Amino acid sequence: MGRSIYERLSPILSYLYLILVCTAILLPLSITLYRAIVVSKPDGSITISLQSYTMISEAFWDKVLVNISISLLTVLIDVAVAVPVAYALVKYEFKAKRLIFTYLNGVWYVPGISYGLALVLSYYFVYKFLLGFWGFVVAYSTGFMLLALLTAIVAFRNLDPVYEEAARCLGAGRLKTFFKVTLPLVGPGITAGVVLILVLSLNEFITALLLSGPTRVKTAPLQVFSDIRHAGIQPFVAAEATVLQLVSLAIVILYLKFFGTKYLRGAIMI
Amino acid sequence: MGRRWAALPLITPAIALQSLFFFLPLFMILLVSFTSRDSFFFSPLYTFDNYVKMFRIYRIDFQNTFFLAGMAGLIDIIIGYPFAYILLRKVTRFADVFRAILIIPLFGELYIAYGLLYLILPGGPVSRLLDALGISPLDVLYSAPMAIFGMSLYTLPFVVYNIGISLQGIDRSYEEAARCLGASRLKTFLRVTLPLSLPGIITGWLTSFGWNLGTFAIPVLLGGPILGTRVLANQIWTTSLVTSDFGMGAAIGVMVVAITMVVFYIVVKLSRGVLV
Amino acid sequence: MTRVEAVELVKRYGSFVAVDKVTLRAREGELVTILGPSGCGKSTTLRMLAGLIPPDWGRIFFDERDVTSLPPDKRNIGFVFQRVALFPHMNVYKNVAFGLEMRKLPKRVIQEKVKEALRLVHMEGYEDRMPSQLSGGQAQRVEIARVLATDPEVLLFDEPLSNIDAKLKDELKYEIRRIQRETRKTMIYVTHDQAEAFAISDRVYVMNNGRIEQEGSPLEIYTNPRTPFIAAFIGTTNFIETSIKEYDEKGGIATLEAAGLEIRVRHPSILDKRKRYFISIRPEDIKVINPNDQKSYLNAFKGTVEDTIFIGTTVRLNININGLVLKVDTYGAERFNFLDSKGKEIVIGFDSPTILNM
Repeated sequence: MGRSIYERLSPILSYLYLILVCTAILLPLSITLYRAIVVSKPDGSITISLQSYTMISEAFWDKVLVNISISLLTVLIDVAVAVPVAYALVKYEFKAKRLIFTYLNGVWYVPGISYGLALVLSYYFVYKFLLGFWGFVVAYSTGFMLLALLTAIVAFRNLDPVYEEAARCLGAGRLKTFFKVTLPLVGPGITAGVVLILVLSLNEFITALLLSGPTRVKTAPLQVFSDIRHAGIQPFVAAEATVLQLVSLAIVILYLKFFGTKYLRGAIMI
Repeated sequence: MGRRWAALPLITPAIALQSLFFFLPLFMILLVSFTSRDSFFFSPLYTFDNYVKMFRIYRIDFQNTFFLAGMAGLIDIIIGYPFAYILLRKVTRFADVFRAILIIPLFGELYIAYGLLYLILPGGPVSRLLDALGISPLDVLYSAPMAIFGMSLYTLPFVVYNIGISLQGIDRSYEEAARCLGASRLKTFLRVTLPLSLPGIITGWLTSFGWNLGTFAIPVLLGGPILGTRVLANQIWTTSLVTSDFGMGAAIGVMVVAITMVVFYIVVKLSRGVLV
Repeated sequence: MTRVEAVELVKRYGSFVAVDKVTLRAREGELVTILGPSGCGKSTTLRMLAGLIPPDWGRIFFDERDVTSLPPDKRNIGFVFQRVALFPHMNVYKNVAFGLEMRKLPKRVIQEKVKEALRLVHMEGYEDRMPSQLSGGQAQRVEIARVLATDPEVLLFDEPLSNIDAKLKDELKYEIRRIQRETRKTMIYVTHDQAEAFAISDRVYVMNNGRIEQEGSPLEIYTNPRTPFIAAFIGTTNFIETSIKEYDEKGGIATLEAAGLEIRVRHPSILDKRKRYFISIRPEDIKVINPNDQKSYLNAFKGTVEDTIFIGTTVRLNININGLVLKVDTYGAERFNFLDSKGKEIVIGFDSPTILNM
């Protein structure tokens, strides 16, 4: 009898638990969104309005644009740099593979606050030409490269070499094979890296905080932060805070709709 | 054959990027951490002063940060272990939805801090509840537990990932064997599954700890005026960019890097060979 | 039509020698099979012929051309893989057209050739299907069409039927034979399945441990296996270790001894009196005979039925003769009579066994 009770309760409790934890995860975003779009009138009634979004300053939208351009350039650089490495790590045999992988991963394990300061110092002393917009691009490309690398490695791992061999036997050269067969087949996996980099670079905060001083470039999350400190808890600040979160969410959902979680598993997901 | 060198042009750009913009800056911060405030911009004199002073002045910040990050990691294990276990073993429908929701904390600590801020604000839902119970909301809310809660939300995905990877690595036949040998579900879990997933628990805790060492917005916005400002991330920012004591900021920064390096060295050792 | 010749191919992986001085030949329009157990180096050999892996030593010729250092895309070959290798992101038409596009043929020609190739494998009308919508057999047919469309000089098949269920496998292997006959292309076919190899091949190379152990027509290899490995690998056989009792160099018949039995053997070559020889006699070559007919067989013995095994088309008897147990197959309607013959005494007779090289 105890067995059957366990078996009946187990799935219900499992789902309840997952839902509970996911509610906690969703809590910050939902509250912010609630504060941005729900207006309580003096008479006690509640309405939903997007008015708070119209109160966001022009300056914030400019920063969103800056942010998006930084993110897109970061994605471009990271894919161009990391995909060949992933290909080499999976397909070629050479010494010190693990060492190279660890070398390329190091940055991921250094907290953003220290990395930000290290970058600021190197920009002051060595790379003076990077004091500005490109300083951000370089910082983000270096900092997030691992995500493109991990997802691309997973993608190449999952690619059965028989397709490339078949292409070669059918008369396609190395380059043709890569562009016509390899790339289309690993595309979804590489896109997973693109999505992760987009999402993380659109929302990067701590490294940006340190870089913003010397570079005099401000990204959207920094604007949100300073608005929180100065304007506090007003609806337009809540609205600002949701903008890039919703954009990120849309990117993630769009990706998952097309490709599912398959290509993210093993890289950042179980 | 020739293929051994064919990989070289493919990896060179990445190596160059990381060398120029990660390892060189890392070297810079190390160098600067040995300079004193007065000598920083002109002929630098290298001393250990910053490190000596650091442990005296900022001991409390180290303590606070370790405490917050350590506790957050612990809570992550307690919440994340069942989450990973259920996601992998119990649930088939909507599993991908739960997986997708786990991406949201990656949007960053700032938004977590800000969202939770609304929760505990005077006049917010939680504070009203506490008021009704006769507890002063300010004492409870802007304090360590709230910061720990925020931090644990922030790093939960990493912990679930680490535990999940180690759970996936357990051959189910061990558990089936234990059951057939007469162990109950609970005994099987405690004697077989849990010990075998221990590496995942350790790497999960360490990963969470390592990430939270550098959190800034969560302690500053949620930790209250006393605890919240006295964490390492805030001190790095304040000393270097607000009061321009780059030497001291760099020294704290190097310490944080050193600690996380040790932490992640252990993580990589324990989770050896997951990808390459 | 192209002649294929591989001379002393060697491939090492570390200290492991996967392919050890393999020399083989396929004449114009011939279907040659490399037969061997898994891990014997047969696939490695084929992949070297395709240019997918470079040999450490040796040369490969297509007619008079030395292609040893040419990459696969410059060899004009067709390679059919063990796993389905249809590109999952292209439909059937695009897949078959791939090789033609690589050869930069005009669109009209490509259309015609794709149609022709699909017709040859009886897959017309499937152009718009994606590979995931095809059954295993259909996918393998399209795979063959894709290879044929490019009009390759040499066809290479790497166990193409090993992942296909038994019924369909039978059908497809004759299909492959038919296509080879129709197109008259030189073809090298790798398999571990002896029945498959014998059914389709003109000539068979048997490989073991990276070496070629025997080469010949299916009939030659079956009736006259040269090594114990081949005798055991191909079909079922009785091995008997013997020593020489009587041996007349001119007479052509030697008497060998095993377990006190005298077994007479026609020997093709000179035997060494001091050596021990393995002989092989197949269960289907041993007959249960009338005790009065003993004289008409080279060898005849009395034995006890130890066990009977019903296999289907045959009933196998294990017959104990003075402690030497021989497998004997019985056929036809009379096989059912033996089903309850356990413990009975019968007489068996057989012609000369084969002497195996040691």
